Amino acid sequence: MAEPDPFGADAARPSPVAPDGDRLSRHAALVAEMSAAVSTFALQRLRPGDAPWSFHTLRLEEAARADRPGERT
Amino acid sequence: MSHLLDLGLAELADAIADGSVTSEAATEAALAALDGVGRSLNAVVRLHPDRARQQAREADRRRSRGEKGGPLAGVPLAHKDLFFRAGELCEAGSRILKGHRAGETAAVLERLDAAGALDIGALHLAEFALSPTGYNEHLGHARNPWSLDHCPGGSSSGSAAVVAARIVPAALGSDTGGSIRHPAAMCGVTGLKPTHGLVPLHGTVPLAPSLDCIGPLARSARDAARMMTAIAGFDPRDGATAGAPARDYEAALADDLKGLRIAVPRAYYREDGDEAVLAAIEASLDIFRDAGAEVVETSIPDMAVVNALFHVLMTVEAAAYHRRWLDSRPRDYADQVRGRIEPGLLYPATRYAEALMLRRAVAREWLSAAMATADLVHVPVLRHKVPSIAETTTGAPAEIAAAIARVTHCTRGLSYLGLPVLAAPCGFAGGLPVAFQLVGRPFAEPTLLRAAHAFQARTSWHARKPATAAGSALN
Repeated sequence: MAEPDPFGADAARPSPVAPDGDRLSRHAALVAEMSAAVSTFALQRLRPGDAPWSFHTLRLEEAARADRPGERT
Repeated sequence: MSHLLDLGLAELADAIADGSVTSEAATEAALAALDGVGRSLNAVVRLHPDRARQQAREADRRRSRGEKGGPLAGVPLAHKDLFFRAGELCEAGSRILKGHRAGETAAVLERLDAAGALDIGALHLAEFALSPTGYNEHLGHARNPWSLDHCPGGSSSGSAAVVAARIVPAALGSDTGGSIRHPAAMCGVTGLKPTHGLVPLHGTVPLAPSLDCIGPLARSARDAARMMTAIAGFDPRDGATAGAPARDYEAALADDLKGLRIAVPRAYYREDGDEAVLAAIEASLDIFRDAGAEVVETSIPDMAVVNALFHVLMTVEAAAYHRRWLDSRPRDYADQVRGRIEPGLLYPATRYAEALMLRRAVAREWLSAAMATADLVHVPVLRHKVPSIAETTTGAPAEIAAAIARVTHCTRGLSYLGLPVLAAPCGFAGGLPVAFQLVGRPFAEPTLLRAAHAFQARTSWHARKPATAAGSALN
């Protein structure tokens, strides 16, 4: 018999079981702290043009910059 | 010639290419060392002796026929158990993937195969690459070759341990928040976390793909450069590699750093560190000056928010991948590992999108502040001495969390920025290695390797070997 594939469709089927709420609550303080820091920062700093693929834009900018050696900023 | 196992990656590859060493002899020595010293360090998950011997003999036959091999022809390597090879086990140090046989081969292994390297075994790692110390509840804790009671660093613990212990000349690691740099620093080897997207992730068990990087752990910058030349560059199966250059990284090495400017931020990275560690870090700056570099002070943006951005990306992406098993098999995770993933289930989607959308602006601001007048930034990997295994596994959960947070203090924020970072040894504190990080702009790996190579041309920290090393007179 073939071994079960942990990456297969069966394994990926959504579970009807919600994550253990009691256990997750122990992370609440950490998540609240991190979430607040990011939220406040985002409200101040997000601009038009900031996209989920923004890091890849930076990489492409820097790859182009590599053709202009000596430029530091 | 020195002992076979003392040869670095480039030395060994060149010796096999010129016929002064056979691949078969090098492979037998590495297999024996993995089975002996490697297992005593708990660095080995499984070996492939039959395949390794067959491939070694074939490499020797090709050479004897006058066929030119690749740049790593006949060189025995081993890697953390995170990279798929079609038809073979890849368990990621976990109970969840116990018995999993991969249906495809990782892009990095394909590239090392093409360069002629042999893949002779799978090495210890943290469960799903999620611990900076070498902790693994299922495999047991890996050991530091400099002191068996101390952490070897993680998650690429086996890779660093066997390179430091002179068992194989180099190994692949992966780095999401420091998993190449921690073990490189704690074991005293050279590790390079490349620019995110320079080395393809295809066929690698993910932790957080927006942050995951694959890179070399080796005994020198030259050896890391040779491995980078083999593995870096665009792969259509990994969209993040679009625009990634393919280069000869070894060709960029030079002993002279004239014209190079290195920036040193005092805030955050050097606060509250151990005196002996920070003294070794400071002394390394004199070596860079001696090599011709100019060292300047700089400032950096607030790292607390950068660390928060990292935490959102890392935990949400890890939780998305692991949710199928967090729901159905939660007790098959170590509690420490499960507890590091679970926060990702709680963040609102908006936070995750913000963390992605802010990344360019934050990285640009960091580059403008820290590297406005410099080519590289110099910071420690760890501000403290290498922790003992007991310090990071015993005590109250809050104490363990604090010990782990100290390990990642200097590494995780740089991962959010996506920048290339090289870790290299620069001294000892308490009998264990101390290491600096050199941080560059995206795709500045040639500059990082050049600087580390010049440092290593003037120092011998990278050449020291622990008493536990394979082939050591003390064995």
